[in-house]
Amino acid sequence: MTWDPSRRVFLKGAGLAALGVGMGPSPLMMRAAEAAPAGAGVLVHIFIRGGFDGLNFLSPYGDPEYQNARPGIALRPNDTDVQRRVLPIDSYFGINASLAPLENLYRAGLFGFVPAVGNLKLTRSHFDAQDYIEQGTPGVKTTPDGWIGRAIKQIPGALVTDQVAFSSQRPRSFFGTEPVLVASNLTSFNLRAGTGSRIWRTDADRILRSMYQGSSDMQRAGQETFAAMDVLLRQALPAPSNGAVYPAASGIGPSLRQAAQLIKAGIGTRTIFVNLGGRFDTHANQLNSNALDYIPIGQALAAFAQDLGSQLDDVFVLGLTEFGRTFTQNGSFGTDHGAGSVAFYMGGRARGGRILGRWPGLAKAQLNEQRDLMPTTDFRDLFAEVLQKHMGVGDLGSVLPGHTPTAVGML
Amino acid sequence: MATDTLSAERISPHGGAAAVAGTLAALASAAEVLAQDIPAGDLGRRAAVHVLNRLGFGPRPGDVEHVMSMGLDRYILQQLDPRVDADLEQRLEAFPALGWTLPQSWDYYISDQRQDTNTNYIGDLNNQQRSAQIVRAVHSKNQLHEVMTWFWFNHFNVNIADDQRVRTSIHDYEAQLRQHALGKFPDLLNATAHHPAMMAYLDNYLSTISRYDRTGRLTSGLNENYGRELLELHTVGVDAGYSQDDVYEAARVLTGWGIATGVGRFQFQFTANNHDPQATSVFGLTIGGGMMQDSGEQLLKFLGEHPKTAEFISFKLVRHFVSDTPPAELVTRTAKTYMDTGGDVSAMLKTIISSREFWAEAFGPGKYKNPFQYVASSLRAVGAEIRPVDGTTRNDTRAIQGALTTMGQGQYTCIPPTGWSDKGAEWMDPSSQINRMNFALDLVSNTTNGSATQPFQGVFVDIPALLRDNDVSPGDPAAIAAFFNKEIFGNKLFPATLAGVQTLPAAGAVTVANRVVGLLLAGPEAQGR
Repeated sequence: MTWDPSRRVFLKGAGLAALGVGMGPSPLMMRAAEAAPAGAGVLVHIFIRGGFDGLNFLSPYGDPEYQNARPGIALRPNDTDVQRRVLPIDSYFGINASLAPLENLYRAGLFGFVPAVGNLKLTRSHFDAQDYIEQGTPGVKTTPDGWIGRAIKQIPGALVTDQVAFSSQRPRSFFGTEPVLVASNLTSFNLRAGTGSRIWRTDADRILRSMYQGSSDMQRAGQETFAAMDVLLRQALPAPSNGAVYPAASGIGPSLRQAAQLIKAGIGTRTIFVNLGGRFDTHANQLNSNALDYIPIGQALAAFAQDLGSQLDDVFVLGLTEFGRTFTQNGSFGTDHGAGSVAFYMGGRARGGRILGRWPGLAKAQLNEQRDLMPTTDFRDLFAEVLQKHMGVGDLGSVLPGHTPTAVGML
Repeated sequence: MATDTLSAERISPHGGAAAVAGTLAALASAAEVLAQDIPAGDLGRRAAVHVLNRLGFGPRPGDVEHVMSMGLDRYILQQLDPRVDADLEQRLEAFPALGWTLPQSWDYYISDQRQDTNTNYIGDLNNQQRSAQIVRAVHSKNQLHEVMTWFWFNHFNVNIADDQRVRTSIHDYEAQLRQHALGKFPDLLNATAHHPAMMAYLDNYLSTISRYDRTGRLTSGLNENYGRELLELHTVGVDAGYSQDDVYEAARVLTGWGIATGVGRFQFQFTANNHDPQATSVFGLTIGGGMMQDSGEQLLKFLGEHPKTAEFISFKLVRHFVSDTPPAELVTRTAKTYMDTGGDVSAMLKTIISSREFWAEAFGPGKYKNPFQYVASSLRAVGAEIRPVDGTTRNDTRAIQGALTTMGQGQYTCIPPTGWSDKGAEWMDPSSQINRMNFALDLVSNTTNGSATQPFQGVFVDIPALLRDNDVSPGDPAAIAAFFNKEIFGNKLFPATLAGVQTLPAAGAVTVANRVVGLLLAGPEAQGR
């Protein structure tokens, strides 16, 4: 990764130098100089990897074409098997029963769906499609940075914790010149040197900081690490509020729990990326895989809304995947790689309780190449709406080059 | 300490030992262009460290001297032509389950299902496999062979957590990749295509000709998963220009390729009844009707000889051994070698190692290590011994396995078929960094007995003894840093590092020795290879 000196690095470095490395008052004080405007929104972007089956997430159960194309895996109201059951929200669409907590959020107007999102340039390759979405430039492989990485430049802030990815690797969406905190577990963000009477953490911290001074990529990565430590170690991260209970298993539960902690701590975090892997690439026996993956998604989103309470007004959650799956079930009670898939959104100020975008229909002639749900909403329209209406980003041209956005209506 | 005790017995059939053309010339040319300030006496050391880092999992103390006294060319040729390593074989005796045949393995799996003993056989098999991977990386003298086994496993990724058929056969799958790791690419492709682990992981064992029940409902049929990834990830690559129809037809040609399981049986099996025998064409290859299993064999042969495969494999090799952004010209030269030699891996590696591009890397900060590379190289740098805790026979590396999982690279658990990212920069982030620093600091808290109370049970590290053996005073931070600078870092430690470790407060010699090394391994220079 090439990595230019940037405003954030500069401010962070200057701040630490002025304060004495690792000493003195918290660099959080620096936010006073560059505070974000009051009410500035927080984006929580959930990227689900594997190409999940949108048609069994928000299911067009009322369409006979759907029932005919998926005789072994189509969801049905009141099915005795909960993995095949759909919770109708009208006579055509329903929510997979494994996502039951989403029904209340939808009816409360906090949650909504865009059921046919994508772009035909995304291809049926997981990896190309993920890259294209994260780069924000479908069809252009050479784009070096990510759409959020470009957008951050227009979002005020001074700390490495302004943008956080819950991921084991830096997501391509965040590639760019701005430092990002990439972490799986915020509470373990400290050095561990020795035990008992032999603890030497203070010395290790001081010397390692001095070793990571310098301008090589590796040294800068270390500087980001210590900058993140400076923020997180000085900041008590609050426990879940309002009786919210997150799924404990690794994945979306801990990520959204920690996202809420950052938001409630009020340290200026503006963009949070939640990387979600699992069994979403459902080529075989997908009902069982879907249930295992969807149950924690529904529970975690409900817990997140409950935990944030009125602070959900400042937050917009946007979830999507790289592509949808074939409309017709394959030979192994699964589905293969397709095109359009559902995106979902949630927020206190979101225009929820809606199913947005044009529904392309499921007759053979209405499908992409007679096999996949046709995408009718460009994924970049979702990004543009969030940036413009929630994040205060004015110049969309530099973030989503060559794209003229169409309003979706989520906000 | 590396000693030259490899036997004469070759591990696998091999193309021969022609000289690595122009290695030293390429090195000298790279040095001249890029690093005129390198002291002349330092060049050989820098080159030896580079070779140990790129063709292996980094130097152990003594390795640099060994390579220099043996001669770079000779060392490289030895790495390209692995011989039986008796010391390693003895260490691997701690992992008897890895010798199970597939039918034996399946019987143990059935036994686990019945719960007729208290042993979890397959869990134990998988634990032994993870331990053996660490032991091989840390101790094998055939370092390049292990690097290439890792590389091919990652190229033909399967996920141990995916399916019981993968879990019970993954040791055999890796053994087959190791067998061909420096051989011919088409043999690697064939081994994976005919293995239960791959047939299960990418669902091909479920893919059949369309079948319907009495009411006309589809009961089984095509599954595109393996057909697609065979083209996209294993051979010609996503940009080769194939269409969705080609994916579909590839999958159709491969219907019937699956797995046989049962008492005393666990193997790849072609099931004629599941196969769709229609004539077809895939990416320009015409396949006649009724060819049965041979249609798939023809497709594999076609893909193994395809120039796009040569290009894609070369791109990935150059990315691994040279740079996150592979120099196009070197990729082209390597692809030419592929086409000239029928995909001979050793020959392609010779092309890469003989290039100026490869040697130019010896003078930069290096490619950022992935977690496995970081952990293996750190263990090697301190001369760690991985062996059973005193009084036990079982080699247990669970603490190291856990550290790898924390760093985001749990062994054999990469979910997507693309494998782990081989771009170093994608592993460079604060989460990775803090976990690496803590791994290094934990490692030097380990005492010599490697007992259960240590951070890493079964890992024996004695840095003070290592220093004393080399006439370095364990209480002297400057001398310790100088020793590791020479032995491990090719004299590339930054001035800030050398100055930093000297500010450690005074303490006992053992404490000082361990802390200095912990800092060096946590520092920036240890993150690149």
